[in-house]
Amino acid sequence: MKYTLTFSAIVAAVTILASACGGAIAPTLPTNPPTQGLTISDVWARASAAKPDSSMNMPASDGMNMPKPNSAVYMKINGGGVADKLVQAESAVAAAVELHTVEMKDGVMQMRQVEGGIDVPAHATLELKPGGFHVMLIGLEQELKPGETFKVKLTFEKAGVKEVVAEIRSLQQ
Amino acid sequence: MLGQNQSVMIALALVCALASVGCGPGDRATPMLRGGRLDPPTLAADFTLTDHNGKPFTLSSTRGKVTLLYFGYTSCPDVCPLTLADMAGALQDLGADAQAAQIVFITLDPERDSRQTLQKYVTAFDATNIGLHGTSNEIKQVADAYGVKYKKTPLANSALGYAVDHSAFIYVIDRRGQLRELLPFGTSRQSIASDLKFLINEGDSS
Repeated sequence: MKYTLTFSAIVAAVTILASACGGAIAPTLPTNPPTQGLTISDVWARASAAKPDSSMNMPASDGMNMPKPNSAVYMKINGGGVADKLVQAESAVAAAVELHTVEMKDGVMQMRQVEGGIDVPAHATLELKPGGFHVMLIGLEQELKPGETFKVKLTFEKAGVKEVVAEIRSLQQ
Repeated sequence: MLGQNQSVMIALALVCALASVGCGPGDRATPMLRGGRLDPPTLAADFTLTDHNGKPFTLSSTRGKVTLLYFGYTSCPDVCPLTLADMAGALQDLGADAQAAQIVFITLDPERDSRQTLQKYVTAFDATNIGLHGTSNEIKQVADAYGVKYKKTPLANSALGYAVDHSAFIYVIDRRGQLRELLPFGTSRQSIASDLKFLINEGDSS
């Protein structure tokens, strides 16, 4: 065989590299004093990718059959004195709201629904960000326009229900 | 389509792409291109699929422009829009030079991504973007030629139904149609713009 470098060898090399690099979603620096409760900041969502385009000769029936677009909400959750868990997210803007994560395996991105909630460590900031944990909005009921906001209800195992406001950012950001 | 030699080169570039951006503080010698480079470059595998306006699109028709080729799916709420946003942002940063660049998005989810869905999705990021679809077989042939791995994965309790696991590289093709580098997920808008600028200006001498 002329090519001695097999695909499995390459995949193995990629895997080693990926594991050597470490996870990208590890909790970071503490931000809250021990006595303080959990706080949430920097809540944002990507605008919906559904720009109406009148230049297209789109039959009405096609438009009606189009699946509704999806989007995602990101935020920083600053853990309080005790470890907690984000177990549920709700919002009126989408038909379904779920907790998802993205993992890189052998150079392949895999999006998965998070089973059992997302751990929020004590005294540390957990960031929901592109390429990692996110609140997925499935089947948007309305267009998400840059600059506007919408409400998201988050349920934590210990801290209970927290309502936050997500700022909609443009697609190009 | 690519021969085995080229497939191996793509795989090697993939390793480099992951290594350079994934690991790197790096006192790397400052290469003009930031991703996993194919050296020497190879002619990008040509193919014909259907564009978001329903017309046949052949990759080699973008000769003369630097092409950013990306494989994804529109239900993907996270990795795909982020990458498209960074590519579109890079084009914005280029100003008038953006005319010499083209973003091409190929769906890996032909079942759900109709022509209309693709049209709305890709043009929302940049009006000049081209979205491509085809039959499952047609898509698979192109994906295989570029070493793109993808798999439909059912999500048992999700309203999404299924996700499409997929390689998340941007394939950068120069003005002469040669595959030059693979950019890994997370490559910044600035880096994409810088590489585009380099390849656009390089084309002037050829």
